[in-house]
Amino acid sequence: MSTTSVDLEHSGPVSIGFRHDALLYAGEQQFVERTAAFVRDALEREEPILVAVIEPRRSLLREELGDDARRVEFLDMWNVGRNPARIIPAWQQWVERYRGTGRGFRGIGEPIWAARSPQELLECQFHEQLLNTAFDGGPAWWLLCPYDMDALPDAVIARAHDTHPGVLDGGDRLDSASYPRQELSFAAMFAAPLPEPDPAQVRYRAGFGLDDLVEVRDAVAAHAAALGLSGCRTADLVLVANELATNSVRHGGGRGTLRLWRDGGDVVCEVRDSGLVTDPLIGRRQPTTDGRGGAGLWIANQVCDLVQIRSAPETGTSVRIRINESGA
Amino acid sequence: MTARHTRVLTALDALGDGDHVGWVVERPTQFTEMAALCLQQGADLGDMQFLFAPQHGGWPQQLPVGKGVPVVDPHVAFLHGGHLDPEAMYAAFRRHAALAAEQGYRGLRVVADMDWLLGPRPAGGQIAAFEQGLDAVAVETGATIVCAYRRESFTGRELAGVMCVHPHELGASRSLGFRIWSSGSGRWHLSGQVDLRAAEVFPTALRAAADGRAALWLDCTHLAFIDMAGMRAIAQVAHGTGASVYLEGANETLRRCWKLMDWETGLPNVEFCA
Repeated sequence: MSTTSVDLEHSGPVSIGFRHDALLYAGEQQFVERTAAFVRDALEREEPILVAVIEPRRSLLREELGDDARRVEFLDMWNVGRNPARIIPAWQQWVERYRGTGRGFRGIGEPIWAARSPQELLECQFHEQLLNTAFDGGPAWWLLCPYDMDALPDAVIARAHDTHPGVLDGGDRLDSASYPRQELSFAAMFAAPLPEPDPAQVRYRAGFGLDDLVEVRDAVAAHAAALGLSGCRTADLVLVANELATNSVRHGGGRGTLRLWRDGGDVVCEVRDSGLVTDPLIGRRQPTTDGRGGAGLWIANQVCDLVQIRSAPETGTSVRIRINESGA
Repeated sequence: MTARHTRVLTALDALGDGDHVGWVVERPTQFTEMAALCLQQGADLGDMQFLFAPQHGGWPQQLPVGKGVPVVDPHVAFLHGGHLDPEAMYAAFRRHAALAAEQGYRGLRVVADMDWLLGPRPAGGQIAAFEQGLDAVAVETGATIVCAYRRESFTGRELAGVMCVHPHELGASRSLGFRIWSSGSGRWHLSGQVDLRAAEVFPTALRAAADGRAALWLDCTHLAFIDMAGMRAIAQVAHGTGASVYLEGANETLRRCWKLMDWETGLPNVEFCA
């Protein structure tokens, strides 16, 4: 297979700044054709490339690339990006490897696939938007995000146009007409409320302050175990619930409210307080060994299957985490 | 000396060699009564004994217990009226432990009315650091040391900070959730739960434990919980001092978080041990 309908000649190599494009395709064959063309173009230009996609697409692309696959780095997006907030740190590591080298480099990252839950999808779209915040103004590199038009709803494809400055659809790279959108600003996305759980499903609800942290941890542990989490995942939940409660005490007005419930296969824990989050990339920067950078939301993102942060001056902050027995 | 274990006491009887008791005293008469019983026990065992107390506390020069127990104000006798100098205090303990051995005593026992600190009046953090170092001296010398803090003389914050660096505790104080104590030679034990309550004291205690040492052993076997700030405090000590840090008996959550933070790479001087 050697033909491609992606017009890379027209697109040209990365020269200035961060380029973040959506690549539309229909079905696995087009995925392989279009991503392989992008990879081969990078390799011809001696540009390092990292591919982060789920199986079977990772294997299909490897197969198509043949010997060239050895010059490509691959990540399993299922592991890296099950919680989409873990994807930017992975790209950050890739960027740091080539920062200051003067050479271009590339990535292919497919954070959205058909089996994503509605809440995961929301956070993936937030992630796509945040990529621009995270890497605009940094080194020049080119990230391509494939979207399967056969498997994903039209609304998801439309949102891909909204969150990517450029779109490739088998022809020229086109500037997206709907990017950027005001309703996808950091403030607007953080202000969008999360769906309320059925009150009858909430297994634990408690207000807390500094002197209640032990009680909160004990209650979360007891309820998590009762909801079927293993000892290891219960320990994860207790650790993260404590970090969220600690943030409330330290930064959210000294007090907060914690709720716990089950939603399908997930145990969900939410902490609300009166604080305001102003950093769109909170929890997505690797803390350093010398103590800089917050570690609580970082570790939440590492051990939880999904972390959703909502914050607005009128409503305060709520952080909702999901832990699945099979995750982390 | 057998391995030290942390204990919450209800009385000052049955103290052993190297025991280091933090005692929150509610009433003056409580101190007088319980200190007398403790000293009588020391006399029965054949210990060299001292009562530390402020010079103007109304105590006689010697208590009529056993062969007599001298009453000493450390601020006058060991610090010559100056600031709290932990090393000078530790040297005094070492000197008297050696003297007790030379003179055929079974050991050294000190009951301290910590109101003597009201003379030099160090800051709360300095008192805790002094007590933490004294704990290592208790292990080293085998001295039995009872530190009685009168509630009316110290703030709740000072009491909480001081009590968590004593392996043995008597009397109620607001708990910071954790305890750190020595087993000698740069080895320290952690127990309890390290969370936001300990945010100020725990990093200070770790720095004191690592102070000037090439290696620090932290036994985490009895550490039930540690939050991310606590883990970072360990990382910061390893980063800041460059000392080899050995984490013994750390639970799976601590090990896993260490890995997820990528501190394995950044801090090769930290090692997890069984």
